[in-house]
Amino acid sequence: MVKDTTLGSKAFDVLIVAILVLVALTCILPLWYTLAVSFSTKAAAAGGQISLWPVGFNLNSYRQLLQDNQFFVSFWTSIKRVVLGAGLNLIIVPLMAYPLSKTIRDFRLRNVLMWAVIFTMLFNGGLIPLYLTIKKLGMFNSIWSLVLVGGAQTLVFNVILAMNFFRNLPKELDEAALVDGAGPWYILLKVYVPLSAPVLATVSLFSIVYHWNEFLYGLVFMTREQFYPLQTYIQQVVVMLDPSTMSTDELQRLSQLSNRTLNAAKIFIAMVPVLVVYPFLQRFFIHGITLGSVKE
Amino acid sequence: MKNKRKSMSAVAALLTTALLISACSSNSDSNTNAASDNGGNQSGNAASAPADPFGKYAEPVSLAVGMKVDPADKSLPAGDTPESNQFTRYIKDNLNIDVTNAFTASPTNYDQKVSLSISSNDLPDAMVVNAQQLRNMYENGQLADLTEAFDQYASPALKRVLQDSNKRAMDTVTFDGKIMALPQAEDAGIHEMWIRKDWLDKLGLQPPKTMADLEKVAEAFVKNDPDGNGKADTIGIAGPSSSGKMYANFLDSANNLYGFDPIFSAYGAYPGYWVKDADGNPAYGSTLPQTKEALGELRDLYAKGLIDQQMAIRTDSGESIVSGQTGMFFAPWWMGYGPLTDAIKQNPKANWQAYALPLDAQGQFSPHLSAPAGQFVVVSKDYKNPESVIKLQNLLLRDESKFDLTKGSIGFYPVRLALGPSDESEFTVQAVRDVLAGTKTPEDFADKPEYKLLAGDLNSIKKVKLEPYDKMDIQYWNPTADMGAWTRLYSIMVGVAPFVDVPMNRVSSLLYSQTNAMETKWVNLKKMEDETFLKIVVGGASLDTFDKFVADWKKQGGDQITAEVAEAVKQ
Repeated sequence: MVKDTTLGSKAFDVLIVAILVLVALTCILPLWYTLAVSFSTKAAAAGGQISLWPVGFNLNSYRQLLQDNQFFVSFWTSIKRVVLGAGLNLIIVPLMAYPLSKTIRDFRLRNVLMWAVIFTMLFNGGLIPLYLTIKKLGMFNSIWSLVLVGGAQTLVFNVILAMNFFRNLPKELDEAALVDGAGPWYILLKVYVPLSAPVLATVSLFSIVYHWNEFLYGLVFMTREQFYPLQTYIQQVVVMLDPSTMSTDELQRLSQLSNRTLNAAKIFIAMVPVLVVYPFLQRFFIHGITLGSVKE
Repeated sequence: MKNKRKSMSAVAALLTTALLISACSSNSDSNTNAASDNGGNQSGNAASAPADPFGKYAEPVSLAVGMKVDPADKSLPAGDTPESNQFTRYIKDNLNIDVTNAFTASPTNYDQKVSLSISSNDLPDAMVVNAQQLRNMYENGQLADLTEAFDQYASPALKRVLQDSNKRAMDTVTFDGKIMALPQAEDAGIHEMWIRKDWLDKLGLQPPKTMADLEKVAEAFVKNDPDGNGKADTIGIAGPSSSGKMYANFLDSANNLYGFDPIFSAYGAYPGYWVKDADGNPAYGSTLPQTKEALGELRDLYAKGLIDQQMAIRTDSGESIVSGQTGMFFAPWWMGYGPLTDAIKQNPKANWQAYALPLDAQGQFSPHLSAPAGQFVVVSKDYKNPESVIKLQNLLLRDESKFDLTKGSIGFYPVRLALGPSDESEFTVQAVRDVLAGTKTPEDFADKPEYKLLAGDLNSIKKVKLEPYDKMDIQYWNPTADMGAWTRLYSIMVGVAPFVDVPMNRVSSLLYSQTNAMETKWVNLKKMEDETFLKIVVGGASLDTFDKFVADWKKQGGDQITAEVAEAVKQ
């Protein structure tokens, strides 16, 4: 590649870098700010006096956090949820996407199934029927209500993503395998899946992030705090109280308990696992390229 | 996030109606069955022995409740849970009631959880609900009739507190002459002016009595560098935060922090309230000319930079109060529990004082009052022992002051109603003054157990209050001696004192609940109102947009709703 060294193009480079830095900052600053708050004194946090550096640096929030048993119970619940949810997602997505990626000639019911799947994406029964269903299934306070309901909600999108990826794989690979005597299972597991690392990494990432961040179902299906996943636990301590919906008696008790520095510490620790997973999955995105597998 | 919650609860409400139309028909027979069952039981009881408000059941009675549990509340000792703590054990020992939790939820999510349980008809035996939920449950036929249980089992003290002292509250739970819930009586919900007296002193000003004074003071706060840091960084008047309101309304009628309620009432305007118009007919305060006048003034104050220029954008307006930038805000009496605790930690000289100001054209302070009750204990109609819930309240009222709250805060008492005489705070002000003046001793008040915090207040006042005892400025307090006691006593002696000392013209809303047409239309009307008024104040729309708003409001269902309100008021 020839490098363009005219002034105009240099200025353009500078502009691009500036924009990228700005975008990066909008992502990093909130994290940094949260970290700064978590290291500050309570009064400084309540006064909104923290900008980029902690005011009155101390580790009290983290010391307090270590004594908060429920935080770690919820943390563990979330880990279980992510492992089960993303694992299940990884098994079901290729199994569903493979037949749906075939044409109607190969798989007659393909369109019917496809519409059924899309239908669930567009319409659903709403929260209360869901609540009643889960109750009748006896899944209140069970990790499976989170894994299955949450999983089902993200599944369709993931399947469509994987299906389109499968469709773009060269048909010739399929035919060559068929000629060599491979059945559908063999083709899926030995040809499609190894070539699909990027899309499988993508859907796994979606699933992991979804299961980690989703808090509403924890609130709806769990009747005790001890069963809450981490983000539900954090949501309930972080959301601002609306004083006009509470009695004065309650407000007097509760307003003394708010603790922004501790909340910031919780939020920050809760972000760490996803931050760690991202770069780990990144390397799959460049693998699995099918370039050169077929000679045309 | 907030919007999401709101729309969700709207959906939940809609679904409730649909679901319950189908549920109601099947419920009606079981209803009569239950009633006759109950009647049989109770007459049997009555024949053998008179009902004892504190009677211990021979057989254990179970009670599954919905509980509000604050995750930040770590007052329970190790091993105790919201389901097993000093309160539940005390209840078991005294009444033989086994309390379990059907669900627990944090204060931020409790309402949603309750709505879900109402909508899906998956009810605990008893729980605490808000006014709207109470009405829904009544219309759905989900409530137990407590009339008989209350008559027979409420202790004389409970009857005194509810039926005599808080009759207005009791009226709100009486439907067709039947008691369907127990109300928690609220204090009057008056909003007053909190102002930095040290700033006033420094600038040689007096607390502003009229709106004209208020403008002058606010201007001095903004321009004359009251905090003496040489920077023009001070705010005259705090405004509502992004999730806050400019004024309390008839549905959320109390505890509006950093709104402009006293400014509106200084113009005789009661936006958000149902009041009588010039002809004496019920009208919505937001549509009356007084509101336009007040909005014009607010718009003017904002344009001059005297109201926080970031109002309605800040996530928490309390921040600038804590950091010492703000000179004045409007809020309820309990601000010691609010931003002031942190404010004096930041600046121990921040002398926040409260006044019943500004006055209206007649020279009077005319605040609006909150709904007589905001929270209610309800019992499911399927529950066999509704009187057990009454007994819980009897026990609480008698023994609340005996509990050691360091072993579990009072919030863990199942289905607790904060009950007390309606003049609790005002009475405390007077009692503390008498004790400080030396005319009475704490022992003189020993015969007032229903004022449950009074004994503690009187014993700790001299710990946090410095001489001279008749001056309430911050330099005459010693907060660090006992922060908890200071919080309460400063709120009482500074925040409640104006209610005792200043004669007020108190204004109630004609109605504090929704009518039928509101269920479908109110959300949109309210949104239009909030947006229009905010735009007018911050200068995004002209003051005359108000007239268009009134016309639109009437057209889009306001007239119909007003007629319904008039009908409801007549009854």
